[in-house]
Amino acid sequence: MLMLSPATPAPVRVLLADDQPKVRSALRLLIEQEMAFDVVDEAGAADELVRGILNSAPHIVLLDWELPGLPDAHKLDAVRLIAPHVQVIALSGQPEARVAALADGADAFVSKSDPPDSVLRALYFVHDKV
Amino acid sequence: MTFSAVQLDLSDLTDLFNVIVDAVIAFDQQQRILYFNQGAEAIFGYAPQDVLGQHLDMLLPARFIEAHRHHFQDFSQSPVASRPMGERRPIYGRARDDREFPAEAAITKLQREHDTVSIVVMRDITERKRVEDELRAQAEQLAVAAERSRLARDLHDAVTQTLFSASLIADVLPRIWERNPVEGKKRLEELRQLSRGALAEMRTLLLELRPAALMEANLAELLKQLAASIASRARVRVDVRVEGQAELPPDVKVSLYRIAQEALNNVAKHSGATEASVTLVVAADANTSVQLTVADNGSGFDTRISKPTHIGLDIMRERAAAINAHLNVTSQPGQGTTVQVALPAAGDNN
Repeated sequence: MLMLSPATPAPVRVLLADDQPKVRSALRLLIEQEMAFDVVDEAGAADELVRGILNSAPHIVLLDWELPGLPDAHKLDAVRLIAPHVQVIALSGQPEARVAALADGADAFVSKSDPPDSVLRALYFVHDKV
Repeated sequence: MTFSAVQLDLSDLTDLFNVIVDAVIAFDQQQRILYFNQGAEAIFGYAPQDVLGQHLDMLLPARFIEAHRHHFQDFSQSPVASRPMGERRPIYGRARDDREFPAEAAITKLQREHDTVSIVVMRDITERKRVEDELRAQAEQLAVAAERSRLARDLHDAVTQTLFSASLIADVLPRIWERNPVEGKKRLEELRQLSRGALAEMRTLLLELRPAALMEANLAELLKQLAASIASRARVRVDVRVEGQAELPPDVKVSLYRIAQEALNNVAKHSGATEASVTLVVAADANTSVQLTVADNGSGFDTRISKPTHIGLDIMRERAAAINAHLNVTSQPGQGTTVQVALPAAGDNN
Protein backbone atom coordinates (compact mmCIF):
# COMPACT_ATOMS: atom_id res chain seq x y z
CA MET A 1 0.00 0.00 0.00
CA LEU A 2 1.33 3.35 -0.96
CA MET A 3 1.75 5.83 1.90
CA LEU A 4 1.49 9.43 0.91
CA SER A 5 3.16 11.69 3.36
CA PRO A 6 0.96 14.72 3.67
CA ALA A 7 2.67 17.99 2.85
CA THR A 8 3.47 19.97 5.99
CA PRO A 9 0.70 22.55 6.14
CA ALA A 10 1.79 26.18 6.10
CA PRO A 11 1.84 27.61 9.63
CA VAL A 12 -1.19 29.50 10.78
CA ARG A 13 -0.53 33.24 10.85
CA VAL A 14 -0.92 34.96 14.21
CA LEU A 15 -1.06 38.68 15.05
CA LEU A 16 -0.32 39.75 18.64
CA ALA A 17 -2.17 42.81 19.90
CA ASP A 18 -1.26 44.03 23.40
CA ASP A 19 -0.13 47.46 24.54
CA GLN A 20 2.66 46.05 26.71
CA PRO A 21 5.81 45.08 24.79
CA LYS A 22 6.82 42.60 27.48
CA VAL A 23 3.54 40.73 27.06
CA ARG A 24 3.97 40.63 23.27
CA SER A 25 7.56 39.50 23.65
CA ALA A 26 6.61 36.66 26.00
CA LEU A 27 3.67 35.58 23.83
CA ARG A 28 5.87 35.58 20.75
CA LEU A 29 8.44 33.41 22.51
CA LEU A 30 5.77 30.94 23.60
CA ILE A 31 4.11 30.72 20.18
CA GLU A 32 7.36 30.52 18.25
CA GLN A 33 8.06 27.19 19.94
CA GLU A 34 5.04 25.76 18.13
CA MET A 35 5.61 24.65 14.54
CA ALA A 36 1.95 25.09 13.68
CA PHE A 37 2.01 28.86 14.23
CA ASP A 38 3.88 31.83 12.93
CA VAL A 39 3.76 35.26 14.56
CA VAL A 40 3.47 37.58 11.58
CA ASP A 41 2.80 40.96 13.21
CA GLU A 42 2.35 42.87 16.46
CA ALA A 43 0.12 45.79 17.45
CA GLY A 44 0.24 47.99 20.54
CA ALA A 45 -3.01 49.90 19.93
CA ALA A 46 -6.26 49.67 17.95
CA ASP A 47 -5.00 51.64 14.92
CA GLU A 48 -1.94 49.36 14.65
CA LEU A 49 -4.26 46.37 14.92
CA VAL A 50 -6.29 47.52 11.92
CA ARG A 51 -3.12 48.21 9.91
CA GLY A 52 -1.64 44.88 10.97
CA ILE A 53 -4.71 42.92 9.88
CA LEU A 54 -4.73 44.66 6.49
CA ASN A 55 -0.99 44.30 5.92
CA SER A 56 -0.25 40.87 7.37
CA ALA A 57 -3.51 39.00 6.79
CA PRO A 58 -3.39 36.93 9.99
CA HIS A 59 -5.61 33.89 10.52
CA ILE A 60 -5.69 34.47 14.26
CA VAL A 61 -5.57 37.63 16.34
CA LEU A 62 -4.51 37.25 19.95
CA LEU A 63 -6.22 40.37 21.26
CA ASP A 64 -5.74 42.10 24.60
CA TRP A 65 -9.35 42.95 25.49
CA GLU A 66 -8.17 46.20 27.09
CA LEU A 67 -6.16 47.27 24.02
CA PRO A 68 -5.99 51.10 23.97
CA GLY A 69 -8.18 52.63 21.29
CA LEU A 70 -10.79 49.87 21.20
CA PRO A 71 -14.34 51.10 21.85
CA ASP A 72 -15.95 50.22 25.19
CA ALA A 73 -18.65 48.14 23.54
CA HIS A 74 -18.79 46.11 20.34
CA LYS A 75 -15.03 45.95 20.42
CA LEU A 76 -14.77 43.63 17.42
CA ASP A 77 -16.89 45.61 14.94
CA ALA A 78 -13.92 47.16 13.15
CA VAL A 79 -12.00 43.88 13.09
CA ARG A 80 -14.98 41.97 11.68
CA LEU A 81 -15.56 44.65 9.07
CA ILE A 82 -12.09 44.26 7.55
CA ALA A 83 -11.55 40.57 8.31
CA PRO A 84 -14.85 38.74 8.82
CA HIS A 85 -13.24 35.31 9.14
CA VAL A 86 -10.25 36.06 11.33
CA GLN A 87 -10.27 34.03 14.56
CA VAL A 88 -10.09 36.24 17.63
CA ILE A 89 -8.73 35.00 20.94
CA ALA A 90 -9.52 37.60 23.58
CA LEU A 91 -6.91 37.93 26.30
CA SER A 92 -7.56 39.84 29.48
CA GLY A 93 -6.09 40.50 32.90
CA GLN A 94 -9.65 40.58 34.16
CA PRO A 95 -11.21 37.11 34.24
CA GLU A 96 -14.66 38.70 34.39
CA ALA A 97 -14.17 40.08 30.85
CA ARG A 98 -14.89 36.57 29.51
CA VAL A 99 -18.66 37.06 29.24
CA ALA A 100 -18.39 40.37 27.39
CA ALA A 101 -15.68 39.07 25.07
CA LEU A 102 -17.65 35.99 24.03
CA ALA A 103 -20.83 38.08 23.69
CA ASP A 104 -18.97 40.49 21.42
CA GLY A 105 -18.06 37.56 19.19
CA ALA A 106 -14.58 36.51 20.31
CA ASP A 107 -13.88 32.89 19.31
CA ALA A 108 -12.05 32.06 22.54
CA PHE A 109 -11.05 33.73 25.78
CA VAL A 110 -7.94 33.39 27.91
CA SER A 111 -7.45 35.08 31.25
CA LYS A 112 -3.96 36.37 31.95
CA SER A 113 -4.19 34.77 35.35
CA ASP A 114 -4.66 31.31 33.77
CA PRO A 115 -1.61 29.05 33.40
CA PRO A 116 0.44 29.55 30.18
CA ASP A 117 -0.75 26.38 28.44
CA SER A 118 -4.25 27.83 28.27
CA VAL A 119 -2.93 30.23 25.61
CA LEU A 120 -1.71 27.26 23.57
CA ARG A 121 -4.93 25.36 24.15
CA ALA A 122 -6.92 28.33 22.84
CA LEU A 123 -4.62 28.62 19.82
CA TYR A 124 -5.06 24.95 18.91
CA PHE A 125 -8.79 25.23 19.53
CA VAL A 126 -9.22 27.98 16.94
CA HIS A 127 -6.47 26.49 14.70
CA ASP A 128 -8.89 23.86 13.48
CA LYS A 129 -11.41 26.49 12.47
CA VAL A 130 -8.94 28.41 10.33
CA MET B 1 -51.15 101.29 59.72
CA THR B 2 -48.17 99.02 59.25
CA PHE B 3 -48.16 95.40 60.32
CA SER B 4 -45.45 95.92 62.94
CA ALA B 5 -47.61 98.50 64.59
CA VAL B 6 -50.47 96.08 65.15
CA GLN B 7 -50.60 94.99 68.74
CA LEU B 8 -51.22 91.30 68.63
CA ASP B 9 -52.26 89.11 71.43
CA LEU B 10 -50.94 85.53 71.19
CA SER B 11 -54.48 84.25 71.12
CA ASP B 12 -54.93 86.02 67.79
CA LEU B 13 -52.35 83.69 66.33
CA THR B 14 -53.36 80.32 67.75
CA ASP B 15 -55.32 79.36 64.66
CA LEU B 16 -52.22 80.00 62.57
CA PHE B 17 -49.93 78.24 65.05
CA ASN B 18 -52.13 75.18 65.03
CA VAL B 19 -51.81 74.61 61.30
CA ILE B 20 -48.01 74.64 61.59
CA VAL B 21 -46.54 71.15 61.91
CA ASP B 22 -43.55 72.51 63.85
CA ALA B 23 -43.79 72.92 67.61
CA VAL B 24 -44.59 76.48 68.65
CA ILE B 25 -43.97 77.16 72.33
CA ALA B 26 -44.24 80.52 74.08
CA PHE B 27 -42.78 81.19 77.52
CA ASP B 28 -42.16 84.13 79.83
CA GLN B 29 -39.00 85.53 81.40
CA GLN B 30 -39.09 82.82 84.08
CA GLN B 31 -39.32 80.24 81.31
CA ARG B 32 -42.80 79.20 82.31
CA ILE B 33 -44.66 77.76 79.39
CA LEU B 34 -47.52 79.99 78.24
CA TYR B 35 -48.50 78.39 74.98
CA PHE B 36 -48.09 74.93 73.41
CA ASN B 37 -49.50 74.35 69.92
CA GLN B 38 -50.72 71.09 68.33
CA GLY B 39 -47.38 70.61 66.60
CA ALA B 40 -45.70 70.68 70.01
CA GLU B 41 -48.21 68.15 71.30
CA ALA B 42 -47.35 65.82 68.44
CA ILE B 43 -43.59 66.22 68.80
CA PHE B 44 -43.32 66.11 72.61
CA GLY B 45 -46.30 63.89 73.38
CA TYR B 46 -47.70 66.21 76.08
CA ALA B 47 -51.16 67.76 76.16
CA PRO B 48 -51.21 71.54 76.76
CA GLN B 49 -52.64 71.09 80.26
CA ASP B 50 -49.58 68.94 81.16
CA VAL B 51 -47.15 71.71 80.37
CA LEU B 52 -48.82 75.10 80.69
CA GLY B 53 -47.33 76.98 83.64
CA GLN B 54 -44.50 74.43 83.92
CA HIS B 55 -40.84 75.26 83.49
CA LEU B 56 -39.36 74.86 80.00
CA ASP B 57 -36.71 72.53 81.45
CA MET B 58 -39.20 69.65 81.28
CA LEU B 59 -38.80 69.70 77.51
CA LEU B 60 -35.00 69.47 77.62
CA PRO B 61 -32.68 66.51 78.23
CA ALA B 62 -31.23 66.90 81.73
CA ARG B 63 -27.68 67.26 80.48
CA PHE B 64 -28.56 70.35 78.42
CA ILE B 65 -30.55 72.23 81.06
CA GLU B 66 -27.59 74.14 82.47
CA ALA B 67 -26.20 75.15 79.07
CA HIS B 68 -29.66 76.14 77.90
CA ARG B 69 -30.12 78.44 80.87
CA HIS B 70 -26.96 80.36 79.86
CA HIS B 71 -28.00 80.53 76.23
CA PHE B 72 -31.40 81.84 77.15
CA GLN B 73 -29.94 84.51 79.44
CA ASP B 74 -27.56 85.64 76.69
CA PHE B 75 -30.42 85.82 74.24
CA SER B 76 -32.81 87.70 76.49
CA GLN B 77 -30.15 90.29 77.27
CA SER B 78 -28.91 90.64 73.71
CA PRO B 79 -30.33 93.29 71.39
CA VAL B 80 -31.03 90.56 68.81
CA ALA B 81 -34.76 90.05 68.52
CA SER B 82 -34.69 86.64 66.85
CA ARG B 83 -32.43 83.84 65.76
CA PRO B 84 -33.49 81.81 62.74
CA MET B 85 -33.44 78.05 62.23
CA GLY B 86 -30.35 76.35 60.96
CA GLU B 87 -28.10 79.17 62.12
CA ARG B 88 -27.09 77.27 65.19
CA ARG B 89 -26.06 73.70 65.81
CA PRO B 90 -28.93 71.25 66.30
CA ILE B 91 -30.36 71.21 69.78
CA TYR B 92 -32.04 68.33 71.57
CA GLY B 93 -35.54 68.01 72.95
CA ARG B 94 -36.96 65.53 75.45
CA ALA B 95 -40.35 63.96 74.74
CA ARG B 96 -42.81 62.74 77.34
CA ASP B 97 -41.51 59.15 77.03
CA ASP B 98 -37.98 60.47 77.77
CA ARG B 99 -36.95 59.97 74.16
CA GLU B 100 -34.32 62.52 73.11
CA PHE B 101 -34.54 63.90 69.62
CA PRO B 102 -32.42 66.29 67.56
CA ALA B 103 -34.20 69.49 66.62
CA GLU B 104 -33.76 72.74 64.82
CA ALA B 105 -35.15 75.81 66.50
CA ALA B 106 -35.78 79.47 65.89
CA ILE B 107 -36.47 81.85 68.70
CA THR B 108 -37.92 85.29 68.81
CA LYS B 109 -38.84 87.62 71.66
CA LEU B 110 -41.84 89.87 71.83
CA GLN B 111 -41.69 92.88 74.11
CA ARG B 112 -45.04 93.33 75.82
CA GLU B 113 -46.16 96.03 78.22
CA HIS B 114 -45.08 94.31 81.41
CA ASP B 115 -42.89 91.47 80.32
CA THR B 116 -41.14 89.75 77.47
CA VAL B 117 -42.53 86.66 75.83
CA SER B 118 -40.25 84.34 73.89
CA ILE B 119 -41.58 82.13 71.14
CA VAL B 120 -39.70 79.10 69.97
CA VAL B 121 -40.46 77.28 66.77
CA MET B 122 -38.99 73.79 66.82
CA ARG B 123 -38.73 71.01 64.30
CA ASP B 124 -37.91 67.37 65.03
CA ILE B 125 -35.10 66.50 62.60
CA THR B 126 -34.63 62.84 63.62
CA GLU B 127 -35.74 61.58 60.23
CA ARG B 128 -33.68 64.13 58.31
CA LYS B 129 -30.58 63.29 60.34
CA ARG B 130 -31.15 59.59 59.77
CA VAL B 131 -31.37 60.14 56.01
CA GLU B 132 -28.31 62.40 56.09
CA ASP B 133 -26.32 59.82 58.05
CA GLU B 134 -27.44 57.11 55.65
CA LEU B 135 -26.41 59.19 52.64
CA ARG B 136 -23.05 59.96 54.23
CA ALA B 137 -22.46 56.27 54.94
CA GLN B 138 -23.44 55.42 51.36
CA ALA B 139 -21.07 58.06 49.96
CA GLU B 140 -18.26 56.66 52.10
CA GLN B 141 -19.01 53.13 50.92
CA LEU B 142 -18.99 54.32 47.31
CA ALA B 143 -15.65 56.04 47.83
CA VAL B 144 -14.20 52.86 49.33
CA ALA B 145 -15.59 50.79 46.46
CA ALA B 146 -14.19 53.23 43.89
CA GLU B 147 -10.80 53.13 45.59
CA ARG B 148 -10.87 49.33 45.60
CA SER B 149 -11.74 49.06 41.94
CA ARG B 150 -8.98 51.56 41.13
CA LEU B 151 -6.52 49.33 42.98
CA ALA B 152 -7.87 46.24 41.25
CA ARG B 153 -7.43 47.98 37.90
CA ASP B 154 -3.87 48.94 38.82
CA LEU B 155 -3.20 45.32 39.76
CA HIS B 156 -4.50 44.17 36.38
CA ASP B 157 -2.59 46.86 34.50
CA ALA B 158 0.67 46.20 36.27
CA VAL B 159 1.35 43.07 38.27
CA THR B 160 -0.92 40.71 36.29
CA GLN B 161 0.71 41.67 32.97
CA THR B 162 4.20 41.24 34.35
CA LEU B 163 3.56 37.93 36.05
CA PHE B 164 1.69 36.63 32.99
CA SER B 165 4.71 37.47 30.81
CA ALA B 166 7.07 35.89 33.33
CA SER B 167 5.01 32.70 33.52
CA LEU B 168 4.97 32.37 29.70
CA ILE B 169 8.75 32.69 29.53
CA ALA B 170 9.31 30.32 32.45
CA ASP B 171 7.10 27.79 30.69
CA VAL B 172 9.18 27.58 27.52
CA LEU B 173 12.61 28.39 28.98
CA PRO B 174 13.72 24.75 29.59
CA ARG B 175 13.07 23.85 25.93
CA ILE B 176 14.84 26.98 24.68
CA TRP B 177 17.82 26.37 26.95
CA GLU B 178 18.19 22.82 25.65
CA ARG B 179 18.34 23.99 22.06
CA ASN B 180 20.20 27.25 22.49
CA PRO B 181 21.82 28.12 25.82
CA VAL B 182 22.78 31.63 24.64
CA GLU B 183 19.17 32.47 23.84
CA GLY B 184 18.20 30.69 27.06
CA LYS B 185 20.44 32.97 29.13
CA LYS B 186 19.01 36.02 27.41
CA ARG B 187 15.49 34.91 28.25
CA LEU B 188 16.47 34.10 31.80
CA GLU B 189 17.67 37.69 32.19
CA GLU B 190 14.31 38.86 30.84
CA LEU B 191 12.58 36.64 33.38
CA ARG B 192 14.73 38.04 36.17
CA GLN B 193 13.82 41.61 35.17
CA LEU B 194 10.14 40.73 34.98
CA SER B 195 10.09 39.23 38.47
CA ARG B 196 11.99 42.19 39.91
CA GLY B 197 9.57 44.49 38.12
CA ALA B 198 6.60 42.61 39.55
CA LEU B 199 8.04 43.05 43.03
CA ALA B 200 8.51 46.79 42.50
CA GLU B 201 4.97 47.11 41.13
CA MET B 202 3.65 45.16 44.08
CA ARG B 203 5.44 47.37 46.60
CA THR B 204 4.16 50.50 44.87
CA LEU B 205 0.60 49.18 45.02
CA LEU B 206 0.98 48.20 48.66
CA LEU B 207 1.80 51.84 49.39
CA GLU B 208 -1.63 52.73 47.98
CA LEU B 209 -3.21 50.33 50.46
CA ARG B 210 -1.30 51.83 53.35
CA PRO B 211 -0.89 55.57 52.68
CA ALA B 212 0.71 56.11 56.11
CA ALA B 213 3.75 54.23 54.81
CA LEU B 214 4.19 57.02 52.25
CA MET B 215 4.71 59.58 54.97
CA GLU B 216 7.17 57.43 56.86
CA ALA B 217 9.36 56.38 53.94
CA ASN B 218 12.34 58.24 52.51
CA LEU B 219 11.44 60.19 49.35
CA ALA B 220 14.57 59.11 47.45
CA GLU B 221 13.75 55.44 48.14
CA LEU B 222 10.13 55.97 47.15
CA LEU B 223 11.16 57.56 43.85
CA LYS B 224 13.54 54.68 43.07
CA GLN B 225 10.83 52.13 43.72
CA LEU B 226 8.35 54.10 41.63
CA ALA B 227 10.86 54.31 38.77
CA ALA B 228 11.48 50.53 38.92
CA SER B 229 7.76 49.89 38.86
CA ILE B 230 7.15 52.19 35.87
CA ALA B 231 10.17 50.75 34.05
CA SER B 232 8.69 47.30 34.46
CA ARG B 233 5.28 48.38 33.29
CA ALA B 234 6.30 50.29 30.22
CA ARG B 235 9.77 49.07 29.36
CA VAL B 236 11.12 52.56 29.72
CA ARG B 237 14.56 53.03 31.18
CA VAL B 238 14.09 55.31 34.17
CA ASP B 239 17.18 56.82 35.83
CA VAL B 240 16.84 58.29 39.29
CA ARG B 241 19.33 60.87 40.54
CA VAL B 242 19.19 62.34 44.03
CA GLU B 243 21.32 65.27 45.18
CA GLY B 244 21.41 66.43 48.78
CA GLN B 245 19.40 65.17 51.67
CA ALA B 246 17.01 66.64 54.17
CA GLU B 247 14.07 65.43 56.17
CA LEU B 248 11.02 66.81 54.36
CA PRO B 249 7.63 67.42 55.96
CA PRO B 250 5.23 64.51 55.29
CA ASP B 251 2.82 66.59 53.17
CA VAL B 252 5.67 67.80 50.95
CA LYS B 253 6.97 64.27 50.56
CA VAL B 254 3.55 62.86 49.67
CA SER B 255 2.78 65.67 47.20
CA LEU B 256 6.14 65.33 45.44
CA TYR B 257 5.69 61.55 45.26
CA ARG B 258 2.20 61.94 43.78
CA ILE B 259 3.42 64.43 41.19
CA ALA B 260 6.27 62.09 40.18
CA GLN B 261 3.77 59.24 40.00
CA GLU B 262 1.39 61.21 37.76
CA ALA B 263 4.25 62.38 35.52
CA LEU B 264 5.69 58.86 35.20
CA ASN B 265 2.23 57.41 34.51
CA ASN B 266 2.03 59.83 31.59
CA VAL B 267 5.46 58.68 30.44
CA ALA B 268 4.26 55.07 30.55
CA LYS B 269 0.83 55.61 29.03
CA HIS B 270 1.12 58.43 26.53
CA SER B 271 4.70 59.38 25.72
CA GLY B 272 6.06 56.34 23.92
CA ALA B 273 9.40 57.30 25.50
CA THR B 274 12.30 54.88 25.71
CA GLU B 275 14.11 56.79 28.42
CA ALA B 276 13.05 58.93 31.33
CA SER B 277 14.79 60.51 34.29
CA VAL B 278 13.75 61.54 37.76
CA THR B 279 15.94 64.11 39.49
CA LEU B 280 15.51 65.25 43.06
CA VAL B 281 17.68 68.11 44.26
CA VAL B 282 17.42 69.05 47.90
CA ALA B 283 19.36 72.07 49.15
CA ALA B 284 19.57 71.58 52.88
CA ASP B 285 21.06 74.75 54.27
CA ALA B 286 19.26 77.01 56.72
CA ASN B 287 16.21 76.89 54.46
CA THR B 288 15.38 73.75 52.58
CA SER B 289 14.52 74.14 48.93
CA VAL B 290 13.51 71.19 46.78
CA GLN B 291 13.40 70.66 43.05
CA LEU B 292 11.92 67.58 41.41
CA THR B 293 12.22 67.00 37.68
CA VAL B 294 10.69 64.23 35.59
CA ALA B 295 11.82 64.26 31.97
CA ASP B 296 11.34 61.86 29.04
CA ASN B 297 12.41 61.53 25.41
CA GLY B 298 8.90 60.65 24.19
CA SER B 299 6.51 62.18 21.71
CA GLY B 300 5.76 65.33 23.73
CA PHE B 301 2.67 67.42 23.12
CA ASP B 302 1.64 70.97 22.33
CA THR B 303 1.18 72.57 25.76
CA ARG B 304 -1.13 75.17 24.21
CA ILE B 305 -3.77 72.76 22.96
CA SER B 306 -3.54 69.72 25.21
CA LYS B 307 -6.46 69.16 27.54
CA PRO B 308 -4.98 69.47 31.03
CA THR B 309 -7.42 66.96 32.54
CA HIS B 310 -6.42 64.34 30.02
CA ILE B 311 -2.89 64.01 31.31
CA GLY B 312 -3.58 64.93 34.90
CA LEU B 313 -1.85 68.30 34.59
CA ASP B 314 -4.40 70.07 36.73
CA ILE B 315 -4.09 67.42 39.43
CA MET B 316 -0.31 67.91 39.48
CA ARG B 317 -0.82 71.70 39.66
CA GLU B 318 -3.22 71.32 42.58
CA ARG B 319 -0.79 69.09 44.43
CA ALA B 320 2.03 71.57 43.86
CA ALA B 321 -0.11 74.50 44.97
CA ALA B 322 -1.07 72.65 48.15
CA ILE B 323 2.56 72.72 49.30
CA ASN B 324 3.25 76.21 47.86
CA ALA B 325 5.41 74.80 45.12
CA HIS B 326 5.53 75.92 41.52
CA LEU B 327 4.88 73.42 38.72
CA ASN B 328 6.24 73.96 35.26
CA VAL B 329 5.59 71.71 32.26
CA THR B 330 7.60 72.13 29.08
CA SER B 331 6.91 70.07 26.01
CA GLN B 332 6.72 70.24 22.24
CA PRO B 333 5.61 67.63 19.75
CA GLY B 334 8.57 65.33 19.15
CA GLN B 335 10.68 66.95 21.84
CA GLY B 336 9.78 64.95 24.95
CA THR B 337 8.25 66.38 28.10
CA THR B 338 9.74 67.87 31.26
CA VAL B 339 7.75 68.32 34.46
CA GLN B 340 9.46 70.38 37.11
CA VAL B 341 8.27 71.20 40.63
CA ALA B 342 10.17 73.80 42.61
CA LEU B 343 9.56 74.26 46.30
CA PRO B 344 11.22 77.48 47.42
CA ALA B 345 13.03 77.70 50.73
CA ALA B 346 10.62 78.30 53.57
CA GLY B 347 11.72 81.92 53.99
CA ASP B 348 11.29 82.91 50.33
CA ASN B 349 8.07 84.35 49.07
CA ASN B 350 8.56 83.34 45.49
